[in-house]
Amino acid sequence: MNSLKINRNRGIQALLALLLLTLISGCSTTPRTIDGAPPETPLFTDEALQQKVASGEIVPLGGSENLDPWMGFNRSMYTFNARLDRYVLLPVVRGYEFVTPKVARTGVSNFFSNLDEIRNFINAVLQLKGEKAVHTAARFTWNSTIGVLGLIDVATPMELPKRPEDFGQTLGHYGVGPGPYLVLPLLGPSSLRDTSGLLVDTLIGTRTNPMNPVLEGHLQRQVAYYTMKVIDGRYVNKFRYYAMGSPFEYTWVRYLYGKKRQLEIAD
Amino acid sequence: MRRWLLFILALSAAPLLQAGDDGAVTDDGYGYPIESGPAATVIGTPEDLRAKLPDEIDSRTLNLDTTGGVEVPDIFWYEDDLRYSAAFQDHPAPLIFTIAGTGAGYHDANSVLMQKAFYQAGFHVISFSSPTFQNFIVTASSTGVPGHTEWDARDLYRVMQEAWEVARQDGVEATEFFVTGYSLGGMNAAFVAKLDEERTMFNFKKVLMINPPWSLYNSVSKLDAMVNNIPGGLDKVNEFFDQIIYHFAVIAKKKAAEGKGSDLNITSSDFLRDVYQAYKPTDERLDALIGVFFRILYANMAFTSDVVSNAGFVVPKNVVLTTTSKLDTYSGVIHRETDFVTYFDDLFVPYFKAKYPELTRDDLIRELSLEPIEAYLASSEKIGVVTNANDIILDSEDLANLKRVFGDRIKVYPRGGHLGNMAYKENVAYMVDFFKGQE
Repeated sequence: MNSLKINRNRGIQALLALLLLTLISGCSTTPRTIDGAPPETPLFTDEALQQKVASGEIVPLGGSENLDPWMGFNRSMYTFNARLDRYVLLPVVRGYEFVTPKVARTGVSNFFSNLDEIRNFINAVLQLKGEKAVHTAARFTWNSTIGVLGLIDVATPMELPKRPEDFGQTLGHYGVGPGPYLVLPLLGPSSLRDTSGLLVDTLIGTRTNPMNPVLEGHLQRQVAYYTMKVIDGRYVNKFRYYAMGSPFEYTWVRYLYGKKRQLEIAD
Repeated sequence: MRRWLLFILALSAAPLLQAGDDGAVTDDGYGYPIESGPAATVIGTPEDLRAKLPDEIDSRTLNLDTTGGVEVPDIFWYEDDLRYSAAFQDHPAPLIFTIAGTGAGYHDANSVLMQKAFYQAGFHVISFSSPTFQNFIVTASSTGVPGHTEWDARDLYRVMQEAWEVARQDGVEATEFFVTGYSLGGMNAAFVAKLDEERTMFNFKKVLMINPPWSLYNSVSKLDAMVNNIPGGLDKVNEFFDQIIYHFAVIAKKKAAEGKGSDLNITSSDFLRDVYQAYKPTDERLDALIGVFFRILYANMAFTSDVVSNAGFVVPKNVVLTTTSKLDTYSGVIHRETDFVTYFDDLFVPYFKAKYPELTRDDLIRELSLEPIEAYLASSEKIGVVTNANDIILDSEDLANLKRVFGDRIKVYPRGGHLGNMAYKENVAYMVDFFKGQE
C-alpha cells in the first residue's frame, strides 16, 4: 500500500516535470534549421504571393491568429494533452472498456451527465431562459427518480434532450466576448471567458453537488468519484488527437471550438 | 394459351411500372436513389438503404515500427509508428488487405465500412491508410513524395508483408490473400497486385478496385476545378469555409445533445455527410464543398511531404518546425494557393526528375495512370472494377478506357457519384460476393 502511494507520487511528479518542460519549451522562439544551414526562399513563392502574405490579405483558413495571442503556450499545452492522452488517459479508457460492460459505462455517463443538470439549470436561470430552466429541471427530476439516480436517461426518449448551459455561455449571453483562446491542461480547448466560467461553475458545483453528503469527509470516496469523472469524461469524448491526418489540426480544433461555442451561446 | 401468358406477364410487371412512376428515380432496377453525381458523392447512402453491419466488431488499432529508428521530424512527433487496423477471425480464413482513398486514413468511414462488411462475411481484414495520408507519408513512404503509383505500391507491399508477419506470429491463419481499395486506393491495389506477380509473397487470388481513377492527374484536375464554384471565387474561400464549418458545428452540437459525441474529424468522408445535413447546399455550392474538401486533403499531403522531403515548397528549405511553431501562415498559403496540380508541378515533378532525369512531365502524368499496366490488367482475370456511370472523377473517355481494358470484369452502376453508393446494400453485397465467389 505504502509503495503504491510512493509510486503514485512519483507519477504525479513526473507529470508536473513534463508540464514544466512543456511550458519552458513553449517560450523559445529562435528558428531552428537543419545543421544550422540558412533557410532558403520557398519554391512556391512568387512576389505577388509574398505581398499578399505581408499585407495580411491571406488569412489562414481556420480564422485569424488574432484570437490566439498565447499560441506558444497553447501549442505546448496541446502537445502536452496529446501525450497525456496517449500515455495515460487512453490506456486507462481502454482498460475501463475492457473490464466493464457497455451498459455499465452508459450508466456512469448518464449519472455524471445528470449531475450536470444542476449547472445547466442555474445558468438557464441566470440567463432568464425560463423554458430551458423548466426543461432542465424536468430532465433532472425524471432521470433522478424513474431513471434511478440518473443511471438511466429516461428524459431523452421523452423528447427532453440534453441542453447544456454553463457560466461561460452565461457570460457570452450577456455580451462578454471569448477573449484569447486558451488550451487548458487535461481539459483542452477553452478561452479566457470560458475558463473563468468553468471556475465559477466548479465553485458553485462543489457546493450544490447532491453527492456531497456521501463524499464529504471521505478522501477515498472523493478520489474514486473524481477519478471516475475523469475516466468517463474521456470515454464519452470521441475526439482523438492526430486522427485527422492534418498538420493543421491545432488550428482546426481552435476553429471548431470557437464555432461550437458561438452556437451554444446563441441557443 | 399465349394470350394468358401475356396477361400474366403484364400483371406481374404492373407493380414495377408503378414504382417507376411515383419515385424520382429512373426505373432501372437499381435502388440507390440519388441521381446527381456530386450530390451522391456528398450525401452518401441514406441510413435505411445502407447495408446492415454490426455497430462494433472486434477490431484493433495496431502500430508498425516502420521508420527503422530514423527520427521523425519534431513537428510530427506523434507519427512515430505506422498505424493500421485489423480484425481477425478465430479460425483460418482468407485475408483481405484494404487501402483507403486519397488523403484518408485506415479509420476513414469507408475503410471501416469495408472492414465490417468483410469481417462479417468471415474474412480476416487488415486496413491501411492511403500512402497520401500524413501518418503513412511520415512513417512508411520511401520517397516522402506520395502519388507515384509504383513507388507507393512498393511501400504498401512492404508494410503488408510486415503487418502479415505480425499477424502470423500472433497465430492468425490465412488460407489465401486478396487486396482491394477505394478511389486512389483502388488504383494502388492494382499496382500492388502487379508487384505481387514478381515478388509472389501473397499470390493475390482476387483484386477489387472500387471507384478508381483511370488517370490520377485527370481525376484530381477535375476535383481541383470544383473550387471555382465557391461563391465569389477562390478569393472568398475563407468566407465559404466559415459557412461549411458553421454547419459542421451545428451537427456536432446536435450529436452532443443526443449523447453521441463528434470526433470533429474534418478529413473523414463523414464530414461531407454531416455538413450536407445542416447546410443543404445548392448544386453550385455542393461542387464547391467537394472542391474545398479535396483541397484540404491535398494541402495536408503537400505540406507533410514538403516537411518530410525538405523540398522548400511552402516551408523555407532547411527550416526545422517544432511542436510550437506557428503554422497558420503556411496553412493560409497552402489552402488558398495550392491544389493537386501545383503539388504535382512544384514538388512531385522536380523530385522524380531528379531521380530519373530522362522523364518528362507528360511521362509522369502517364505513369500516374492505369495505362502503363494496361496489358496486365486486361489479361488478369482476377482483377475486377466497380464504378458508377456518373462518378465525378471520371469523364467519358476515362470510363471508356476502364470498360475497354476490363471488359466483362467491370461493374458500372447507373449512379452513385464518387463512392456515394459504397454503403448501399446492393453495393456492399456485390463487394463481398466478389471475394466470396458467389456471383
